[in-house]
Amino acid sequence: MPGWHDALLPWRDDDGLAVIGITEEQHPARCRLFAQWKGLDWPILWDPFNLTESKVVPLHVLIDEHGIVRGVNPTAEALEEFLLGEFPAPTTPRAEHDAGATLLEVGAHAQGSFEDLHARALSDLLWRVPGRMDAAVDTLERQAIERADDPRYAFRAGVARRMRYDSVEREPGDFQAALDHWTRALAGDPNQYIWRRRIQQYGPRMDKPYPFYDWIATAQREITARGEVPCELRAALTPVELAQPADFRAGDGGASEPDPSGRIQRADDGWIAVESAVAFDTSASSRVASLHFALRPRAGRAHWNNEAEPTIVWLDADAAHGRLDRQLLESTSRPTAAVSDELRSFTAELELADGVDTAVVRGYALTYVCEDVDGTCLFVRRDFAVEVTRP
Amino acid sequence: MKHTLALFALALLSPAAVGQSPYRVGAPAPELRLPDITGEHTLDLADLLGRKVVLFEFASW
Repeated sequence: MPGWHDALLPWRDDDGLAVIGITEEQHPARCRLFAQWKGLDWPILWDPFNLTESKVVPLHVLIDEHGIVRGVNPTAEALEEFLLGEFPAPTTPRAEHDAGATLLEVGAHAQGSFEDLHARALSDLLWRVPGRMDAAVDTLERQAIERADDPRYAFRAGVARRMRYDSVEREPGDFQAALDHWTRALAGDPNQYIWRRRIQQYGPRMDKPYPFYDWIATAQREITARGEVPCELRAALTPVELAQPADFRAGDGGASEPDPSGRIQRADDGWIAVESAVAFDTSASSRVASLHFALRPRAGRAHWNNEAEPTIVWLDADAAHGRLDRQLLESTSRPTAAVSDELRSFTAELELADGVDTAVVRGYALTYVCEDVDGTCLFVRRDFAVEVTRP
Repeated sequence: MKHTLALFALALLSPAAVGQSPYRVGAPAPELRLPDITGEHTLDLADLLGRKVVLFEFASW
């Protein structure tokens, strides 16, 4: 793409050629960092809901001065012809509105109609209207059920749930609900590769066509070296989004369980919230899954104590039902402050045994926390379990 | 005006992939109005009538 960017520079001006990007990804800040890194200075629009309905990227589209498409993924010769050519005005008038125009046009439909509510929900989320997140998510989820025969609505409901997961308004189960909606959407249109990538982004290594965001560390380093401040990412990167494609491999059989006899004091859900999500590979067999665990101290009850060892997680699965790639995980979160309350994420992979559709993964976290009320600090164990069921 | 296009690094897709595009040659471009990635601006493709447009649809991954 930077090749396009550089080559089109001489053609661009305020009245002539316009260069526009549309990104089909969940997190706009990551694309913003990419644009900063590559020096892309043209407008880039954010289309997380796949409103363009493209099924693959990248796409390069040539549109003439009358709004008519003149080329898709052109050769260099066709592009040059487009830039130099003149195009006649269409003889038939352009339709006043097409589906794409009215999809987001609040007020274009009867108030309270399905289309009106859909447009309002999408607009509220795309333009981040304060206080509208929950209502918009509810609308899109209800509509995904009402139009269960149209997988686009399931995809959009999944995008909405993941948006809320990445916001301060997150609700338990948002991430898993997003994955479930996307899985249903993809089942309805298996050739929709943009939807497939949204699952693969969080899925196991064996299903990754490429590492999704491994370029970010290089980008941040090179931007900083230029004397600029890299764009803030907002939504934290998870290890699976950086992972290289690789076959599943059961591992660390030699790892020692840190609390085999269960002697360490238990912390209940009132202190530390644990959320899990399971992202299966998108192949027809769906045998390998990424397991996502997120721990956070309950607001007003506890906070992390960072003056001791990092949080660790131990996982175990019944060998008859599945194999884990790792059992002992360590938090990558290393706050410099003495106390903190950030989300601590852990990921592992599970391969279901042949002929098995469900496995239960049990585990626990060992961590240092301090009570908010009287300041008592303890080393505690937080138990949890997740049922992993093939979609 | 003629510029050399020899350096263009075109990301050519297979014919099947082109078939998965909503853009049809000879048909009007979809009318889309979306926020930009900064969240500070909104762009409506219809506002660009009268100008030629090269549109890149992509993802940073």
